[in-house]
Amino acid sequence: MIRKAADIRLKALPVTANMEHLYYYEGPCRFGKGESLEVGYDRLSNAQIAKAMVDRLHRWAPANVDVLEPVMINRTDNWDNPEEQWERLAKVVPEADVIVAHPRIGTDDLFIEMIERFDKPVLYSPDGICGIAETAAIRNKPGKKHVVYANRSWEQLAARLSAFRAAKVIRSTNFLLATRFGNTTSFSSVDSFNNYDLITARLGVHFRFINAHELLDQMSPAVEGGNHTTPGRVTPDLTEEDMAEVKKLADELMAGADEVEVSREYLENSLIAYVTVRKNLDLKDCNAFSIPCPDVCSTRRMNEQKITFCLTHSLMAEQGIPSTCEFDVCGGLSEQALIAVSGHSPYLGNSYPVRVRDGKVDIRLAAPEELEKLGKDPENLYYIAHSIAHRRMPDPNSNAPYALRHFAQDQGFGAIIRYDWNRDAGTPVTLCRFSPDGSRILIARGVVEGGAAYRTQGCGGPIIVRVPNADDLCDKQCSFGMHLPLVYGDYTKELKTMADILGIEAVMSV
Amino acid sequence: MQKEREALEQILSAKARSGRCIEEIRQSAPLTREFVRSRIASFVLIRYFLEGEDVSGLSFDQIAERSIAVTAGISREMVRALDTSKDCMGSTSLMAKKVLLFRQIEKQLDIELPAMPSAMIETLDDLGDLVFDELRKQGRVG
Repeated sequence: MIRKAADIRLKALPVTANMEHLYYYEGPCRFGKGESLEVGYDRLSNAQIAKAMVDRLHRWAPANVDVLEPVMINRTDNWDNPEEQWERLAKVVPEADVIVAHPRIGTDDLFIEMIERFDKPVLYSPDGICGIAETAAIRNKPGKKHVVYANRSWEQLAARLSAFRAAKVIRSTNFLLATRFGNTTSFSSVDSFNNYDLITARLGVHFRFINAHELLDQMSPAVEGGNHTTPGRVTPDLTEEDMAEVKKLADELMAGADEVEVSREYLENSLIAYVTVRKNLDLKDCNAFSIPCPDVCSTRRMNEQKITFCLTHSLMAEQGIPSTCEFDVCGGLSEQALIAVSGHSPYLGNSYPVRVRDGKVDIRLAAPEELEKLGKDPENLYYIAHSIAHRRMPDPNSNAPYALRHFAQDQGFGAIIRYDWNRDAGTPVTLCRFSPDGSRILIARGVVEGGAAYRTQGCGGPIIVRVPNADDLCDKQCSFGMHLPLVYGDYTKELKTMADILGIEAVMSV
Repeated sequence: MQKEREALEQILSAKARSGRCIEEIRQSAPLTREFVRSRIASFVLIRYFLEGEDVSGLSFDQIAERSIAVTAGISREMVRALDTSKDCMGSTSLMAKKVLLFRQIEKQLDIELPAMPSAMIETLDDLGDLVFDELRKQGRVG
């Protein structure tokens, strides 16, 4: 099953701690008059406060957060700490991703013990005095790093719940990687992850592999005796149902395009590649994909089968599934981060500052009028291009206008979607990329300036983004890599919070 | 001085009349759920100085808010706006008002209301049901 980012929900467990006084008295930290100091008052008052906190959590929890049944832990002014409570908590805490805690004076130590026992991330409720003391105590505990936040408002707590969910999405990512040679780098993306064990340890991501030849073999109907690369084995080859889906998608894509400059036959070939990849993701319970370009291209099999994987990456991105060319696994996880914080569909491409030569902008394949328009104000422009644009940049739930063109310039195969970025001029964007060792994430923002080369074939069709400081971004980008995935909207704050939760450094270029 | 004396008389009268509601519960047998509900409802409205007011359709919290509004001489909206936490634990005047009422019922009927269910009551009838269930547990409904 493909478990998309949108399917992943965060489970938040509200835990309130209560102090019950066994005698009538007042003093430092016990306030009240008359009946409110009587034995029995605390018991009922504690329940009111607990319920109010849980009600607010339900109101503020983002849509993809489940609030579990609340738990109350209690003590009296005998300073008891019954083991029975921990046994009760041990039954429910494992299901939770994060605890939303509301302590009372005299119960902070119980929460510290809770964190020591269960090591779950904790968000302190802003009701009361918001958990500053407890957070400082826990963060300075020797020997272990616990994830804990005090929150000054429910808005802040809700934003952190979203960031925790985004972190869970990252940790729930299973990549399916199609390889020809080694499994860490390809001949194009030398800047991808360089140590999968480290990425798994640091970010919780898992990697599964499929041989590129076996994948290509599955793009035709099953043959007697099995495929060449897997003789005698039953493999998920192309079925009649797959072809029915291919034809349906081809009808839809051609009918919806403003312009069609690829043959039906070659469009279907590209869609066969898409359904085969998607089927393998489903069979292997993966939710992200990457395949190298030059490594597989040089087998000549893509030329023979008249396919590229560009349309696969486009259609996956539309569905909120990270899918990258050039075996840019790091770029794929960066797409996942953007999907997780925004719910939008990402785009990825070669990213670098627009060159200005002799006072004129230099953009590959751009038309003269495009160069003239962009040349009027060329400062801080960034070029981002691969032929994997899609229809869902502005709205992940509906298709924007597009054209169908082809990647291969000589033979016309390799269906691609071209998108006219000029439609979205002025739209804010967020860009990000994990570092190759997974220890940092680059986070940047910009605004769509426009696009270029809409009418061309091949790899390209750039989006041009104006960033606050192209020199700063490029300098920082040199520690992260070439591709800077992006989504529409400003999600820089959310990404930064997610990075903090993942325990990695956020490098900002905003 | 005159106003203070009148206020004190009002409080004492409310105490006496509400006490009679509880006494009726104590003296009646067998007890029915409907009877307990009606006596508790009367008890609450008297204690909250809302006797004779139409509270149908109001939640328990809204009734308590109206009581604060009446006694403080301000609107319900003002009560909501002003009733932020009165201590560093997050408890509010509204919570205190409810708990003090519950404690009166507990003491006068010699029962212990379950804590979280008491926090979750939505209506006057919910409170009446909670009281009836505790009396039944003690074998006092007859």
